[in-house]
Amino acid sequence: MKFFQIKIIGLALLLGIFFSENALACASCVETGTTGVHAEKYDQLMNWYLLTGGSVSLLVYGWFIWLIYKFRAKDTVPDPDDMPKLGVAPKHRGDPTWTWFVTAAIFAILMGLTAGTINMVEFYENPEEGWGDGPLTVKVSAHQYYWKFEYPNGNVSYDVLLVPINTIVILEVTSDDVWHNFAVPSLRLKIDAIPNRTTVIWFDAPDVGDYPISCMELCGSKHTEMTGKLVLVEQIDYKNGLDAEFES
Amino acid sequence: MNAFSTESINRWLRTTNHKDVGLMYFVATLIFGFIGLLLSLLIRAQLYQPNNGTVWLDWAPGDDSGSFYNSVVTMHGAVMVLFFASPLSFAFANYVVPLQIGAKDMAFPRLNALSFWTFLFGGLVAASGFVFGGAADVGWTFYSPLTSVEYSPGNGVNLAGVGLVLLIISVTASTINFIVTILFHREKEIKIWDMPIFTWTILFTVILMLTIFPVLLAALLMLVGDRLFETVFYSPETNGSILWAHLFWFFGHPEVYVVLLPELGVLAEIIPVFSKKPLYGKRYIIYSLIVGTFLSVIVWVHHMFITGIDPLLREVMSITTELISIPFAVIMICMIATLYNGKITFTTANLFALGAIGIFVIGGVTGVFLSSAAIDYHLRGTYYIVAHFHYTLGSVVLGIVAGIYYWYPLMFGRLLDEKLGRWHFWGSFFGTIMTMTPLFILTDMPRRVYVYEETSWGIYHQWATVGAIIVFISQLLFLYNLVQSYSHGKKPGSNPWGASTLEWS
Repeated sequence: MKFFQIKIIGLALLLGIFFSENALACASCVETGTTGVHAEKYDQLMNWYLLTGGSVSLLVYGWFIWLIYKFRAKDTVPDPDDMPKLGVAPKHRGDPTWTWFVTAAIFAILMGLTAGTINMVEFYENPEEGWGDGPLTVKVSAHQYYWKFEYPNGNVSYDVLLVPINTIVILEVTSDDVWHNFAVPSLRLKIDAIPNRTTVIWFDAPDVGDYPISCMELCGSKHTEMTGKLVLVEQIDYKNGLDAEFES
Repeated sequence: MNAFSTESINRWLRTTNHKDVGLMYFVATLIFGFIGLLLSLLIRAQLYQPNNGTVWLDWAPGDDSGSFYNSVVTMHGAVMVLFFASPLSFAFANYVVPLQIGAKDMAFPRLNALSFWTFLFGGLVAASGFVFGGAADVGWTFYSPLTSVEYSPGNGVNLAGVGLVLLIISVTASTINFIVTILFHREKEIKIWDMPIFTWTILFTVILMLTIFPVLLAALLMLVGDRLFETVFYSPETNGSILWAHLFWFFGHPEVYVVLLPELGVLAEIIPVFSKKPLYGKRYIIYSLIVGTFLSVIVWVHHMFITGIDPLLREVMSITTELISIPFAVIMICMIATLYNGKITFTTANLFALGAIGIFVIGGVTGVFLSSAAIDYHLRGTYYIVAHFHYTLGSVVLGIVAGIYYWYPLMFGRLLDEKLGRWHFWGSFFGTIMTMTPLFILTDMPRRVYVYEETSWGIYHQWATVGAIIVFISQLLFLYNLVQSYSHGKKPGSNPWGASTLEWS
């Protein structure tokens, strides 16, 4: 029995190390390299989900491991009532109506989260007034294996999207060949690029810098190489024609 | 009798007995499973460190390493889901279900044999692309128009398409067979509510399969038409990409429940036996199965949250997806509650079953995150998704392996070695956790890329690769155990685990 206890403690320790390590890493990756209102709102919602999901799973694991420990076999002879008889279905055991209450409680929490989800869906859908200047509409078209950006003034750039900060930027995304996916992870932006179909997403980012763009849908043999860069500059630099560098 | 004598080969080729068919499924799916496992090791080797060279990709036929990597990813997914996890549970279904309900054989034994052979050839045809100039390299989702002749001129997609059509023929024959057997060929004393839970889950599985596989068949026939006869079903001009996505995910999402339901049945058989207590709330589990089976066909749009479809549809499908977590939560709670007041013995089968529940909880909870359209905007197409579905499917595989340890004495008349089994369990269990947990963090990394430059991702991939190697070594132990115990295992009594279901009589 000693050995068994050691195993349980070891198991708990290992799991604990895994999860705490991951939680720390997660916290640090959320803190660095993100920007914009989308990221802010997204991370807030995600934290609610993490909190709820985390506490529910802790409860379940606690109960599960406690049951395993508490009812481990001291002898292996079943109670007379539970003695299995071949071919006889055991009597119905338990009245699990309470599980429905438990799940209803979980569901109530979920619905609270869903309200947040629906808010977010609407937020991603409609650029709100007052988030900044603009809007500036950029046409994005995906190709095997590069991105093409067309600006309102007729300029075109490839693989580098250059836009000013504190401006509502609306991206009209489409594809010229196969199904791609336009993603800027640090801004929590992602939208499919589908041939003959235009999908729209918007953002408004406050910090100057470079942010990676990836294609997140398998689009062919050079899918790996289909990356780009979002360059955010000061509004004044943008107006002064810094974008000219990216003309082609 | 020598296993490879003409007589023996003749017997196995011509057999229609449900037990023989079950054994053939067992061997064939394990072989497919090992192929899938080897492919996953190739993936893990490639992703071991940032800026990894194209280590093994240079062996690729031709010199397109990207295409070969995509083939490996595609075939790993397709083989593991369609030709390993799902049919392996049907190995048990074939062997055990007729026994559990007191039927003499399946309702249509010849059809049953046909199912097996079309399944086998389907799998071989789909995988044969590797020898005929490149297997399908378009992802197991086959998104259009990447699958069109213009973008995938090779034979890989055709072969995979034909392989899947053969699989669907097999599945359709099999589902009809099981429905008729379970509903009409039960022994008179066995009323429908007395059926063992495994038979119940198989019943819901085949009903679900019969609902969704015809849709895939239609979608594939149109794809084959587009590729071979220049039809234009999936032409981008008519929004063919979205059409494919709808059709595919109408099949693709319930397919994961097709894989999951039999595993739940296996768990619900094993846990009561080794807790020496009846299954808690069996009827509630069955009600939950009904609800879950129904809900599973109205959640598919959660795979298409960012295709720019109507926001209302997104919100509705977010809610149905959250709803589907409830019946499965009830099932899990009932299984855990079965342990209450029990006398739990930790045989290898039970370890695997309990481990499967442990893994499933994380898979399920992380899935609830994904049900939210908004959360999904950021997580779609990243390694978070990979980690999530490997947790759920990892649980499925652990559960089915529990079934192997449980039913091996029935199928082969020998017990599997318990000591090796324990090593196998702890290796697989920690290996799975170690492989997949770090990947939850990589929410910035796209799936299906074979080189990444971001150095901070390296450490997670290294953990994952080491985990995958641990899993692989444990499976080698398992293979050794299977072969060794076949001839040297302990002989069991007629009912070695003290079960009450009829297959042990």
